[in-house]
Amino acid sequence: MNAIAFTSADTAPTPAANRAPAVKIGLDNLDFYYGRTHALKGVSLGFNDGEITAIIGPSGCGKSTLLRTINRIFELYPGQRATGTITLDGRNILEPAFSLSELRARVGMVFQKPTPFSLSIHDNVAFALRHYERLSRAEERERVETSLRQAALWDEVKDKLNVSALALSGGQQQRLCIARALAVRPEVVLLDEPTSALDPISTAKIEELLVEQAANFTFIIVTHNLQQAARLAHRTAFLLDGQLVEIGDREQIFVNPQNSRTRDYVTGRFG
Amino acid sequence: MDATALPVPRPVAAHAESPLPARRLSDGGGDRVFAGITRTAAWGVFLLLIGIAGSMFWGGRQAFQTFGLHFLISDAWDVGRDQYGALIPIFGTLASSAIAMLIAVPTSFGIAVFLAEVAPRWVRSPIAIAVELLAAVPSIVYGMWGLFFFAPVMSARVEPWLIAHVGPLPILGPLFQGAPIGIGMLTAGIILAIMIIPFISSVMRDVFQAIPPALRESAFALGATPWEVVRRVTLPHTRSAVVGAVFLGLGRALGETMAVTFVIGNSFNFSKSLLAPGNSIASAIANEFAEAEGLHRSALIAIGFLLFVVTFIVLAIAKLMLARLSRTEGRAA
Amino acid sequence: MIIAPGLLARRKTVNVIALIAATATTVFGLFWLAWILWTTFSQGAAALSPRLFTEMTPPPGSEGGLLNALFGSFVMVALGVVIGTPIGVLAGTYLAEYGRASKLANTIRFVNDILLSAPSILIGLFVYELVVAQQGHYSALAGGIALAIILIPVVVRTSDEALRLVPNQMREAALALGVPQWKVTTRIIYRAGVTGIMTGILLAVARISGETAPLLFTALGNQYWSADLNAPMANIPTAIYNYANAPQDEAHVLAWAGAFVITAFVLLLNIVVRFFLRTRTPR
Repeated sequence: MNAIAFTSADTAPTPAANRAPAVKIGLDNLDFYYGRTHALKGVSLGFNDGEITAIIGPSGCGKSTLLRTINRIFELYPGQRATGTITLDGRNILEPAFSLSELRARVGMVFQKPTPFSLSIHDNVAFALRHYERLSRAEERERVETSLRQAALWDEVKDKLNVSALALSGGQQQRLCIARALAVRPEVVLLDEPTSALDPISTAKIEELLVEQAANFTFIIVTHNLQQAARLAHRTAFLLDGQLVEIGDREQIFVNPQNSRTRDYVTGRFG
Repeated sequence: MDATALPVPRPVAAHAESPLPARRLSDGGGDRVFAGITRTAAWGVFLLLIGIAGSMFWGGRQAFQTFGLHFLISDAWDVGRDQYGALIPIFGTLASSAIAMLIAVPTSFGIAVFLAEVAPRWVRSPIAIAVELLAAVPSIVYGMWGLFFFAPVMSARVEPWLIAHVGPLPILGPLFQGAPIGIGMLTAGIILAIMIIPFISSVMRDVFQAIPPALRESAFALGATPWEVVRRVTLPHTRSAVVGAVFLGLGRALGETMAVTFVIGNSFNFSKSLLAPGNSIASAIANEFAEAEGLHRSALIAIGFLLFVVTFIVLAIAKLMLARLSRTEGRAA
Repeated sequence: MIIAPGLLARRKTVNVIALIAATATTVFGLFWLAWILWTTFSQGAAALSPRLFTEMTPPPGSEGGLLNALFGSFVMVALGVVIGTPIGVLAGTYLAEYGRASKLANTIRFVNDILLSAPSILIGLFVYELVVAQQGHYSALAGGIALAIILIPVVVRTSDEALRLVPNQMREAALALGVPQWKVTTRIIYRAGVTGIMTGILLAVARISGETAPLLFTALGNQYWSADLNAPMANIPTAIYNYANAPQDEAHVLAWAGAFVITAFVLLLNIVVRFFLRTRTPR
């Protein structure tokens, strides 16, 4: 049972611009509680702008929980709370004073299960757009097209934008959800196991679009698929029992982990 | 596409195509308003119940003050002399409902068992739908049918038979005396029964269907007959809810107006016989309220308040019993 | 394990007897349904004529129609829907979206269910005290309000259930876009739960269409045509009540005609709702 078949012939990418990537989102000593259950314990790490960062770990390790703190979607449920700091471009978003509306405009989210709204394809994508910006019909159509292209869905739906989104296949619906999230031009996009419910072809399409768009956004993707993390991510964070064990680039995490627990997980000794 | 192709990070050029869009951000004001509106509507429901109770009490206060507790046990009802007592309407309500329950509960239970265990699959849906449609028929239609078609049958066949055969018997005898006029407490009770049968059997059926199939299946696997499954698995599991269904039916029966008004006879003379005309709270109000004034009116509202209290208690018990089923569901697993 | 043959035979006999009894009671129950419906339709069909829909209600004993009563019922049911639906849907929204499983929400659900089964004549008395006594006269408006009060608990319950069926992921997906909760509820969640909500409204309409008691002291009834919301207005249930109680046979004929119309309407609505939307009544 080998993990990721990498040889050192697969070179790590050399950045064209030789400067340290900027930290877009920083977590500092983040703790999270479901009622009395302590789900995240003192997590500190940074997500770089223009990169895809993957979060991996066994079931129940807190990776989805961590994702859900970044856009404060957990606030929907009483009894769930976070302490510590999460900064977006240096400003702490956990402060009540930080506008939820601004946060969610700048940090988008795609969920595991595709959830199209009971609206047309066009209206799905334009939904949040209409709330945030005042656009003319033509501008709106242009933005919808751009997002659908970014989500690699345009060619398949361009003739049926007025059709209900519920008529699309699972893979198409998920790409629609991605287009919907991208339409608002967020700076960060959180993806919670976006392809785990999809077939391999849809998965491949979505991975492709993530790679293509990586430089335009900060993608943070939670996945239980180690191969996917290795394929996509510039850096990968390994979480275990609510704690950050290790974070590094693919060479480090998948080939030469510094922590024995990381090696155990990545080589499949537990998971 | 090569599955191991590595994404090459291009130079970090944040959002080169366009600057950050100018966005209208919301401040939560709309949320507060909407939440407030919904909360007001919800409280409105609450206030409605209190309002009904309160206005009944207020309208009846003159009667309560005038007659005091004696009101509850007095069988007077004399508009001319302004003397009123709640006993006859209360008795009528309780007696007609009791007759109704005696007939309706076993019948409803039988229908629920039939639908659960006896009926072949293809017959279940049509019959269940038929039963539910019966529940939708407006009560005034029951009243009319009762007056024009059922009462004559009672008068011509059933009541003479009862008077002749049950009248002479001890204990039960006194209940079946008098002239067979067809309208009266018994007829009202029977029509009430027919009205609430579909209601109770639907609730019972819902309750039976909520049992985890695994419970029933394992009983069958052990060799139990269908009836034994009902007696030893279904009923014990749903006991509270079945009682709840019965109380729900009782609550409906107590407050029913139109089905009863046509056939109860509207008489304030107290009689032990079920064949004699009587009055229920709802039918008394329906018949006399329009022309009533002053103390008379207050007395009618006062008995309305009593009806409200009794119905409230019965329905509250019903809800609590029905709620038990969903709670034991969680624990049984 | 050897089963004693005598015991098995006895158990089987008991079983057969019980199941026969169950079948018998079902036949018994359905017998009444058949008789009542047959009566209504045969009596009513005999009384049907185009005149029903073109002439006004006559004094008992004369010939006439039910036009003003049909109109009045339509107006008051519509009033009931217009007044009661927003309150019902909003209250149901509170229970499903804000209160959820809190103590307050469950208390309101409890109270709502009691209102659902409360005697409708008491609701009529309540509206009498609240509206008619204050205004000094009967009115169609009061009738509409009474019907609204009967409609509200039904709509609250079905809206609550319909909205709770909408999966939470949809709420999260919409909120994650940064759209405020009220917009999410009204634009997305309502649309997702619209079938359930519509069903509830239609079932409630079927219920209030047939109610007589609450109209007796609010809208009263009117022998003549009236479109004045502030005056008594004719309606089918009270027309039936008056004609059925009258001594003349011609009056009874008209009463059956009214009964036929109302029963057919209510049954049709129920069949349409249950058959095409596949839902069960709130109890």
